[in-house]
Amino acid sequence: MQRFHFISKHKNDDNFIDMNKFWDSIKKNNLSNSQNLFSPFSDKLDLFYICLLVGLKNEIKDQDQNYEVSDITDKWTLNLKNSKASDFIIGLYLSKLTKNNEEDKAKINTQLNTVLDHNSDTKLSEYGLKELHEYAFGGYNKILEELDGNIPSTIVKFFDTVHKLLK
Amino acid sequence: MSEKIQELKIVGWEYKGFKVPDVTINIEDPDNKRNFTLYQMLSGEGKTTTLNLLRNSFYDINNRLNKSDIKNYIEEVKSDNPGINEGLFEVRFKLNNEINYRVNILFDYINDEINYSTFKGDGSGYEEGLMLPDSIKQFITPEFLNITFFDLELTESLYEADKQQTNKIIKKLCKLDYLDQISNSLESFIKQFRKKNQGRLRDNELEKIESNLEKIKKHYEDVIKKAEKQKEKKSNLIKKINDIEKKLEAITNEKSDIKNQINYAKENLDNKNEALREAFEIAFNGLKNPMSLNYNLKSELEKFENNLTKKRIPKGVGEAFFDEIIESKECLCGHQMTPEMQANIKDNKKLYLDEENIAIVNPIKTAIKGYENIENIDDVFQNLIKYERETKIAKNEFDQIYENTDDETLKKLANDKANSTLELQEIENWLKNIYNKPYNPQDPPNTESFKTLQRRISDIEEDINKRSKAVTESKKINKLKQWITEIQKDSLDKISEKIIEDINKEVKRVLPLEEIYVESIKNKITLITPDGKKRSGASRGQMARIAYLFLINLLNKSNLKFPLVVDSPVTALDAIGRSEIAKGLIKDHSGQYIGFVFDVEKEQFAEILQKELNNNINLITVFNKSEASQHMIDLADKYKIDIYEFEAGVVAYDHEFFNSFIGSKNQ
Repeated sequence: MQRFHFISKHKNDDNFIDMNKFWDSIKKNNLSNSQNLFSPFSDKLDLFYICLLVGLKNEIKDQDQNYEVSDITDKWTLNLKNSKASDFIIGLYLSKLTKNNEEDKAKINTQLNTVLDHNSDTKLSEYGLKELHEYAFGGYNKILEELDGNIPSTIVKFFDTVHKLLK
Repeated sequence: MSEKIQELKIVGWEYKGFKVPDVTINIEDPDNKRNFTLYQMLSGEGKTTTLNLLRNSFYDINNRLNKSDIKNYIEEVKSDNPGINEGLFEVRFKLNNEINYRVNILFDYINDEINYSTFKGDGSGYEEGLMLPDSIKQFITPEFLNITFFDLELTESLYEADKQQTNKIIKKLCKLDYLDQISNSLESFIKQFRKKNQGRLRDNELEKIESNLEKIKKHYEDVIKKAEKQKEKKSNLIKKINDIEKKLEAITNEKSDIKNQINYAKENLDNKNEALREAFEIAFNGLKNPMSLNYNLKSELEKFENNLTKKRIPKGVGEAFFDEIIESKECLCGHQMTPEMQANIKDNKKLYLDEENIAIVNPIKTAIKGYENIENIDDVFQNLIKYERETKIAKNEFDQIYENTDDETLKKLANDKANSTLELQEIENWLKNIYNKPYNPQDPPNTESFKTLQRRISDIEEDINKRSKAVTESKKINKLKQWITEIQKDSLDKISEKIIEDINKEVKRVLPLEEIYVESIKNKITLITPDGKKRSGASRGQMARIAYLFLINLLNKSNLKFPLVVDSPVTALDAIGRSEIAKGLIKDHSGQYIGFVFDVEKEQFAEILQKELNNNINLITVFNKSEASQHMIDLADKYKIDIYEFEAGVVAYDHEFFNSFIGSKNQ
């Protein structure tokens, strides 16, 4: 079954902040006495989505083979589905994919059929999902770079960083 | 003594020279078949002190605390009478229902020292120090004692990742720590090997590098120990702050002027927090609607949608349509179908969208066409810092009410809370820093950064291996160690899975109104809802009930039946929770259970235990003799309790007295 993944380790860089650790710093935590008490992020896919958005907006793909990954989920969460965020983000991905062939209908059709899969809960084929992860991991690295390789000190800092990268 | 120990039962204890009155407690165990004891004390009269004294009877406190911590601990427990120079706590227990042991902890109040002595009942007599049998000692670590002598008010610690209690306990109880010992032996082997080679080589530097490595390793171990202590301190501070908050609330409820100011400041703080929470929600909604967020993204998506519509993509033709043509004798154009034509159609059909992909592309087009703009979304992001600042100001204003009051107790509590919060923040920052700070070759030698220290150790080890011609052997040893680590991890995962399965089987019974399941017990307990969604929080009662299931399951995994002693066993639990905990304990826990209860904790707990156990339970009540306790003394007298047995306190074993006992005069 195809799934979304987090980077859980960089094989050659022990100092790399993995996505699970990053997630811990921004997720909602009812026991916390920090801003995480009010965090709007409750699913790991929220972080994946934001990284993907940053990756797509900045057109950065990370094809590094040196990552170990961990499973998140095999489908879009209700929150991202109901808000249509999953439609927008797949639309944005398809737009990047087809933008050089705008006039070639046959080529567009082939490209869409290569990356979409109606049988998958992610709506994407294996190839499409792989490329989506490349954008998401590219986006994650961009966010990390903005944060000097560290986790954000607060939720506000995280939003501020992401907002700058999306402007 | 070589006999295998299967069970340890506490049969009593005695206090001398503490804040708790000098009394002796006997835990009856007729025919070795009585496992349950409830020990009733009033709040503030020594329940937690007793729990800690019992815990410290099984693990030498000198190995856990430094001199200054021991001094503080002594201050906490020692008698208020300045004429008393020492305290003695003696715990009596039996092993396999026969061999009697006594452990004495001697508190030297003058020199601030704590010493142990052990009296073995198997004929070998008195020995200095804490001399437990090896078969008991191998289980006992501070983590093990934290769960066997459990303060239910600290349930949260099982749900905190940085406590990492759960894995340590499972490893110990299921003897997976033996694998660590094998790893250590392999490490010693490679050290010896290097040393042997060193003699043959003429490398003057090698000895210096080896000594440097030992220094760094020692420093690294010290930092690990310091981190453990800081985590412990953090947990205690959280509890302390919670206690202060309760006290502050109680006092302010009695003072209407302060109460009004606090209500106002609290309302203001709540409003600011709510504004920050709302701003977070809107900001996240903005991220979920990238067309509102960025004009270029909006244009790009609109252009994409227009282009698809212009090109009539997707077209409603499905795969079945092409398959039908391939199988027909004639093509649509009327020509006879040939194998070549069939192959072409098969290859080219992918140029036309599958009918099913309409279900993906059309909603995307609809979402783009029908997107709703979020007004001023950029302002929301810009204002986050403003909301954050306002929250901080409101929090300061709230804290300052206590500082400006005339009430000294209130002021002191507020100060205490502020200092403790500051200390907590410092500890949290320190912990965050040592674990997360990236490797930096410029770090000073005394750095506390884990990553820098680990890298330095591994670099120096590599250098030593090269210089001492031990590279091949070291690689082999590292491979073996890696396998051992993997075996340990796999075993831990399997055992954890079984524990989770066992806990979750009981959820319907202990949490009938709202089912919450355990998702993971790796380092901490995490929870999920019945449909598998992560559950970030639960009420204290729910957390306590799951904690009980976890503790009992864990203890059942061990071959040693060790007492489960629980402070405040049903605090914060509702009636259903209390009675289900009582029934669950009888059903699942096979060893000794001692619950330290308040007078108000008996309802729906003590009565269920008595009923289900047919009164085969010890019900012990202990209280201080003072002017304030005269009504309790009178009540004890009425039940023919020997109120003169001890000078400063009363110990009662009578069941009816236990049930009638209440601390408050007015109730």
